[in-house]
Amino acid sequence: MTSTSSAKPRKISLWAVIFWLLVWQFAAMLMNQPLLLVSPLETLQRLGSLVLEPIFWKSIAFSVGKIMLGFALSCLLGILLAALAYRFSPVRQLLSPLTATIKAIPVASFVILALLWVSSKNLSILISVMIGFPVIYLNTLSGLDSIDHKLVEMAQVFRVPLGKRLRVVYFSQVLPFLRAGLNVAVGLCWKSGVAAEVIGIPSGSVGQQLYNAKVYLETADLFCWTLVIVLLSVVCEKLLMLLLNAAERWALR
Amino acid sequence: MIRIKGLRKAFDGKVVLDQLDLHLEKGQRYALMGASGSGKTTLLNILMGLMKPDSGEILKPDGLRISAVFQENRLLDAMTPAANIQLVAAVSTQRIHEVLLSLGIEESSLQQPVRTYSGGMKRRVAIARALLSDYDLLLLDEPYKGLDEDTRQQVIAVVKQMTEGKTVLMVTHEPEDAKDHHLIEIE
Repeated sequence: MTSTSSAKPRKISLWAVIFWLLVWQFAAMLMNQPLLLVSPLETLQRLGSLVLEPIFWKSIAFSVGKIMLGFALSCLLGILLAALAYRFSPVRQLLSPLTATIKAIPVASFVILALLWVSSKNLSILISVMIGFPVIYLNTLSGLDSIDHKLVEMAQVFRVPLGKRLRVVYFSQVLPFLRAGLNVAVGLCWKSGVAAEVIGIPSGSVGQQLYNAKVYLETADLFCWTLVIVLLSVVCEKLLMLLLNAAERWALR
Repeated sequence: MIRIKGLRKAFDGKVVLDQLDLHLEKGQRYALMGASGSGKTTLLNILMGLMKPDSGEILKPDGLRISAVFQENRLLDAMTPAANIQLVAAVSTQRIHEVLLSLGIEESSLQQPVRTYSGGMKRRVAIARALLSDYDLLLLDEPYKGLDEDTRQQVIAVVKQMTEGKTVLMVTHEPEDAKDHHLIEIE
């Protein structure tokens, strides 16, 4: 999965959000079965009471910590191995079937298998790494492959110091690919990390809250936690983009 | 300053440089002329260390600093001209802007990234970068290609002034550009 900086920015209009919230509200009113479909207003009301409970914030802290740790490890592993694969073709050949296999395996299979290896407490870290790694690795490698070697030669002829060369010539050219990869990977880590928590049910996680809501048929809680997960994923994505914008300014300064 | 002896280079069996001997003296300007495919750019690439000759030798002082205008501009499009030049040269932004203005770049464009520049403007940034870098030998590969006539004359005058007393080797197809240069013809 690769893309370049030429991709159009995704913008969500407020009117479109309001439209779909209204559709949701009317659908819930029409069905009039809160067990099957809770309205957005009821979801917000339930969220208002949930935020007052300490377990709400503890669950968020637990899942954010684990999933973001997994994402950070997948970044480290993906970027490092992509650099090695770019430099040494046997590394590229070695990793090629591995990344293709990881990409093809369903998250649920991974989760069940991983439960045999690690405790449910650390399951979401491992799953986030497994899911985030191939995306980041392949995007970084595509970026490295697309580096303009004429610019590398230019830097060589003009005796540009290595550090400056890595930052300006290499990093600035790889960054659009890395940005696309990280953007996709952070969302995938959230989805797969929470899925792992729902299956592994580690105590005090967002996944456990989601599981409990399903088991006890607390549909409002189910909608609330889903909304929270979406919001956490979006916030992480936005923070990541701010970080990458700062990295771009640093590379091109 | 630089002595080239028996230089030979072939690509896929096609010989482009064959037993080339050349002597470049310090502080002199040279124009390298010849038909397309005669090995002019190949010679510059070998001098820059980007290519190895098949045989022959190049005698040059240790630590010889080279500056160049390549056949392509080789600029980082997302960066301003000043940032592009400061990547390779420790020169103040003010000095860079002075040179760019003397090359006919408009003041309003100076803060813009190079990606917004026309081909001719990019060429002048590449020329400014080569002129402002520290060097002992300046290699120019068809530096005025793509410039309109008025701009071309303006740029030639600036290059001439800024390379006074420097060693310059320029590849060109234009006999007019070779004025005031020692002519080297290769086949």
